[in-house]
Amino acid sequence: MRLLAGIIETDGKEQLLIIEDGIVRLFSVENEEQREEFAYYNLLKDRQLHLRNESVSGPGVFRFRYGPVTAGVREAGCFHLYTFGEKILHAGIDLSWKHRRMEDAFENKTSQQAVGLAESICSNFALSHSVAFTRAIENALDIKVDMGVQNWRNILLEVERIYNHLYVISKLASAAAQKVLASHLSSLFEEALRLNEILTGSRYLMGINHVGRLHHIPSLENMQHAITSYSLISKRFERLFVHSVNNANYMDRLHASGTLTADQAISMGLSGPSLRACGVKDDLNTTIGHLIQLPVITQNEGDALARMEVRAEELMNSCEYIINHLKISDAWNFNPDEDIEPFNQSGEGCGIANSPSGAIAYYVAINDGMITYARVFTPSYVGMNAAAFSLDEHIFTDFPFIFDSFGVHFSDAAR
Amino acid sequence: MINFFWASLFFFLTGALFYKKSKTSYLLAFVGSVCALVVGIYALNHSEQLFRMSLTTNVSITLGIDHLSALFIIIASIAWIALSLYSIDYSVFYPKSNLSLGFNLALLGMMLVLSARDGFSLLIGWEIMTICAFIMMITSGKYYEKAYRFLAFGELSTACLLIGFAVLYQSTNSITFDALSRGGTVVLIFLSLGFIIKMDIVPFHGWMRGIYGEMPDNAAAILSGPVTLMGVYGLERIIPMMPINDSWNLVLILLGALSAFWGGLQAVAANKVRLLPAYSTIENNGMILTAIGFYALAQSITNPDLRYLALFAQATSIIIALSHTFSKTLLFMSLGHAKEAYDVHTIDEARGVWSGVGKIPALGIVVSALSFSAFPPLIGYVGEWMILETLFQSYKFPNVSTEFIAALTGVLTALAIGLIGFAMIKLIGYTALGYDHGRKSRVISNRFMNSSESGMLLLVILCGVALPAVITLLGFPQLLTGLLDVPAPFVLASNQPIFGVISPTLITLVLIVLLIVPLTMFISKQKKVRKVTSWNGGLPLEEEEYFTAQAYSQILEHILRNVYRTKEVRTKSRSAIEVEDIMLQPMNWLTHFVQKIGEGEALVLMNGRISAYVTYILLLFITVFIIGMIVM
Repeated sequence: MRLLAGIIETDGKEQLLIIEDGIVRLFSVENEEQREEFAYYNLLKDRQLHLRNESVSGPGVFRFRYGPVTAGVREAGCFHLYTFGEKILHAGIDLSWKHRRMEDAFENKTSQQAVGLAESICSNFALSHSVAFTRAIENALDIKVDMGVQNWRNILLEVERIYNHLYVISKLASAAAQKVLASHLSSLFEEALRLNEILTGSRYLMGINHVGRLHHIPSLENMQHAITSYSLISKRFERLFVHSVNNANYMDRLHASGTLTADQAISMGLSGPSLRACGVKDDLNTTIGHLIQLPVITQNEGDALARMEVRAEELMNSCEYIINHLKISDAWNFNPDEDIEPFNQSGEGCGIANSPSGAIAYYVAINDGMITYARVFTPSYVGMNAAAFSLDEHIFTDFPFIFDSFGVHFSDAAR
Repeated sequence: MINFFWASLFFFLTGALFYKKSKTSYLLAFVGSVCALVVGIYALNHSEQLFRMSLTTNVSITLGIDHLSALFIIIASIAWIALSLYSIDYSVFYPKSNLSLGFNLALLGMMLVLSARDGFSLLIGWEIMTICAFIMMITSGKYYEKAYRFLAFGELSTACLLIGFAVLYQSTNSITFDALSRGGTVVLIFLSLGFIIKMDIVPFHGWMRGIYGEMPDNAAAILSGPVTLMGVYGLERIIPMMPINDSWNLVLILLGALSAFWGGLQAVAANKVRLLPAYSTIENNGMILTAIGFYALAQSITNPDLRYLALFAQATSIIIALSHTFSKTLLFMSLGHAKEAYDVHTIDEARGVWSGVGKIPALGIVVSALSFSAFPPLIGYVGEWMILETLFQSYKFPNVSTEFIAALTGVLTALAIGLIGFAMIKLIGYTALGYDHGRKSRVISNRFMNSSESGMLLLVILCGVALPAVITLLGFPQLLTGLLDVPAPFVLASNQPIFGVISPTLITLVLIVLLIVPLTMFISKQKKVRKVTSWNGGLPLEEEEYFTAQAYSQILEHILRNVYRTKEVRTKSRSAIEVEDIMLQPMNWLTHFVQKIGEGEALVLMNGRISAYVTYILLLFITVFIIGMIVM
């Protein structure tokens, strides 16, 4: 499938950043048909911070503003929910409270300096941002990256996927008042964060990835510990997951909540678990050369339950992937401290990473080693739009299940 | 005393003649109402015939007063006094209309009903009252079709009474109330139906949904309070006099409970300022009907255990009638005051009465709505406690079917009380205590409005606080007792030996004592209180972000969507919830059917052709001839 990740406009010229067959490419817009291929073209073109900004009026209808600083909304974001009491008639999302002009901040920075900026866009996806950014830089400057570094990046992306999926599923359990399940999942989430720290020195996997290299590689001793721990996490999670899907109350609350059809998901530009939950196989996992191919998990229902199931299976697969790779990781021979000499000092390029919630794409232009232009395209932006769309016609009780099931973040969407 | 009776009728009549000068007209109505109150107070302990004129050997017009008339004359005349006074200011909104004409004549009609001693006098008063209520409705010059619906129900009520008295005459050769004891089941059913229809009992409430929001406030208050009170009076008058019919009594109990429940349910979903109290009228009258049914049922069984229950149920019906008339009059006056001051129709639009209109109408809304919500020590609390206590004692009835029906009735009544509480909180929260959004009402003359609202407000409170005096005045001192350290007669007991008791007087004393400390602290620290805007996501609320009255009840409309027939009307940028009163369906079908028949008849017979017209007249003549032959 062809996924429009973003639209680049430089010098009045418009280019489409398209992911196809696992490869990200820039296409110059030659005709209108190219735009019409993607129903969400205007969404990515305008990049409005007020998503679905239309209003609804009528007798008894009012706007319920949820945010920007409210218990229950974890970041500085704001929902505009039009309702006449219980049913959400129309949901809009205001991202502007979290908009930090991060893309402008990239300008006039060296690529090494900008890695930290990419990581700080969204802590939960820090590594995905970092990897997508460094890949864009490496493409732009034609830097050849060691296979060992590439493999470690893939492993760490799965590490990031595990703790993010644990986080999302624990939030769903908590919203459904499954307090025991939520507590167990929170404990696993904390365990995953501690493992992150053991492996990389950062609970949120920050500072490990650099342009063309890694800051360090985990010691053999830590790897053995990680193998045992991920094995335990996987087993514990599997037990919890099997138990949870047999809970009728939990299932009832997730089932048929925030349902999207495959066509709707594609027309909104979704990627990652939200797209795969609608039965669409995306090729993000095939994008980067994995040593062992990860299976593409799909579900057909397109609802909050399907999104949760996709994440759950991915989580267990990621654990298995990491365990299998770590067992052979001592064979990857490279020196992390070796400085990478770029072939070029100027150029433009793009890179993507398969984040826990979909494709993160970067486009960078560099001149004499300084970034002159950067664009970031995140899964949370299209995900927020889809989440708001899915909220329509549901009652307020369904709000947390639907929103949390998309695994999106204001910081990621607003940049 | 007879002079005061005639004086009241005279002032009402003169008030009607002065309808062009509405303030004078209402002033005369006020004087007439005061005269009526004097008559009522006198009649508490004196029964006498006021007037008698023979029309034929067996038919006469007889007017008189007794204790039962007195109770209802007192209750009604207090409401009339308040409304007359209120209408003096209110008349500015309808300066050149027949409103005061209808108002005065309606009061005259009611006075005739309350003093009638035979079917003929009752029907005269009944018709005057009905037609004058109709005149008040069409004052605005609009909504004729909706007003005709009221007239149709009013005439249905009259037709039932007419049939009832006709059958009574056929079997007893008399239409005096004394002959009722010899009347049969048909008489009982038709007369009861006539009064029940006037009480707006479900499903005879079909007329009110369309017109209640559109008629003048004093007319709405008259219709909801005193006019429905006439139905209650009619039942209280005939049922003890008629032969026992337990099956019909059970029908009355069930119909009352269903009506109470349905009124409560629809009140919750009502969003117009006057529709909510109108449905509350159905709820209250439903409870009254249930209490009357229980009274009749308990009285019919010769069991000493049930004698007290019969008395208690009768007192219950009168206490609820009193509570309803006073509280509803106060509620309609206060809401009308706010509605006219803001010139609005919906609950949402009438927000912030306290700060935007005035403290007296706001307090009027709060106190009357709390009374309907059974808030102690108000009179509404007493009435609702009494109906539940009556139902709790259904185990005393000897057969299972009665106990089962009583239990079912108890469930429906308890639900009704809960639903009305829910609806009234909505009314108080949005109108009286809601945020005014910086709006100020238009300046209106409100001296008389405030006086009458203040008077009724005090009365609603005092009737609860001084309950022993009210119960004694109504003629039920046997229900009062003492218990523990509370001396007699400050305890109202639902049975002897004691089953359940309340003492609103004691509750008032306890509340006052409990309030002294916090009130002192509040007053002493008032200057230290820092007021801040409530937190709402860190931003001030915008106009379109206020929680609407419709939203308050939408959860119930959503959960009970099959009962409410909740329907969402949706366009791209506009949305609305519509709920339906399915009990109106039969009336709507009937209206549609009659309209179709009329259209068809007009097409076939009234199409301008002489031949068709002659055929029409001929058919009509033959029909009348055949009916005449059958009847003769």
